[in-house]
Amino acid sequence: MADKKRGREELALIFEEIAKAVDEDPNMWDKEEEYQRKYGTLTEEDMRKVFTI
Amino acid sequence: MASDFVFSFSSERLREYLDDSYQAKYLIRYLADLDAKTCVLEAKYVDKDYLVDYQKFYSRSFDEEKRFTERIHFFVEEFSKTRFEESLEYNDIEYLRKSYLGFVVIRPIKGSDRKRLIGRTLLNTYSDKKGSEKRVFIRGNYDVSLFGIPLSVSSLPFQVQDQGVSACATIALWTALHPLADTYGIQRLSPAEITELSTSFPSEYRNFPSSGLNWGQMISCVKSMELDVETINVENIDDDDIILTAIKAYVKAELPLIGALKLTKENNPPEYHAVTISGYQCNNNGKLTELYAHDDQIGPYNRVTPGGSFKRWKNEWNDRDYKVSLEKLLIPIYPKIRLPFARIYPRYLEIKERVINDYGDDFDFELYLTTIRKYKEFLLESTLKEKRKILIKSLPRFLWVLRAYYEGKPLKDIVFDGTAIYPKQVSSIDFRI
Repeated sequence: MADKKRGREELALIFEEIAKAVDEDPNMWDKEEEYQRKYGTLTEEDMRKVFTI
Repeated sequence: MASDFVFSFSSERLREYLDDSYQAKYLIRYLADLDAKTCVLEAKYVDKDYLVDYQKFYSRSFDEEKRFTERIHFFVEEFSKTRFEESLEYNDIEYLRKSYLGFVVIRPIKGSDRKRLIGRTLLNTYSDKKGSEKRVFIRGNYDVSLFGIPLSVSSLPFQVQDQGVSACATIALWTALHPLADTYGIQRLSPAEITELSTSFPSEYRNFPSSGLNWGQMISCVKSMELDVETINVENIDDDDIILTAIKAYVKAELPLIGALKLTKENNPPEYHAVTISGYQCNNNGKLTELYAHDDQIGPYNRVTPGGSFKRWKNEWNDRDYKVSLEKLLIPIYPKIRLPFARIYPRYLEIKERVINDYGDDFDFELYLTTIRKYKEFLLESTLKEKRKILIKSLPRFLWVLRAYYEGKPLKDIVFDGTAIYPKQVSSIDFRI
């Protein structure tokens, strides 16, 4: 549970700091490339798959 | 004109025109759900899609196929032929405009099941709310003229494959490309024209009659229309979060997704089928509970529920003993949308995980693609910190928005440049309540 004492402004600031930390994390850049290779590309075999129904 | 061109909605009566193909039966059930009460028949209707297909294929057949189609319009209001004719005489049309549900075109030719083929169909969607659940559909407003009466329907077009000129992939492309015509100024092509364009990328199969397109041909078709494609491979995923996030992100951007389905039946090799994902239903927490697909073998806005997850689909295919699994998604996009989903999605996951791990699960998150115009229109209506400064700020044409909700209310947006190659934050916006 989030600390109920924290106001929305403070939570928004924490969220921004986390986003900044992720942006500066080199492991994140590698992960983005890995996801692009894994989920964002098609193989030659995929390209030949025929939709027949 | 037939003397009984205005008639009450009944499945028996409609089958005289729609025949009893699987799709015709679905449409009758769908129209009953929409509470259709009265039908008006246009017995001689020139349908551009059919006419182009006729010119490209049927005009050169030995058989004398007809050039004209029939079109049936549907209304919630109950009225007689006499009242309808008086409405024409005295221009008393408001009740027709208010109760219009859309139309179905019936092609004058038969499919492989020897039943009449359903042509271009535009029917209203289900309502936007179902109890506490919200539905989001991809739809545009289409103007319709019935004997001079200006009508309008909010929908995404549907039609059934005509094996002379098209297969499921052609129809999935036809449906998916339709809403992009106005947005990106591309031409609206008939199914035969889409097959023709796709088969400029060669395959070992015949072009006409069409026995199907492959993935490469579909991509080739989209690219030759000066658009680009985003593909998301979900064949080997562990959970369906990537599917749900992608569907919500693109449907919100009003970009239809083409789903590549693997259909398996016991003792048969797998077959592949393409459909267009046309909407979704979600609960209060934003969790998807139902998908809607334009499936040319079933009908428009076909309800899909998860078979454990949305990797496996439960719908009418199961009645025909097929198991359905979603393997890939293809989204036709404008070329300037350069930041791929597969690069922004891990960023979204990482931020979400770190926030939830450190600060608990009172947070919800959303990732979506939008344009500067739509986003600023939304911001203009919202209560924000430093609102004037934010609205005046210059932003790229396309944006990926990562929104955090706290206790169900928007807390903050992190905005990424959708025209960049890698995730690049261009703004952050705090919501006030």
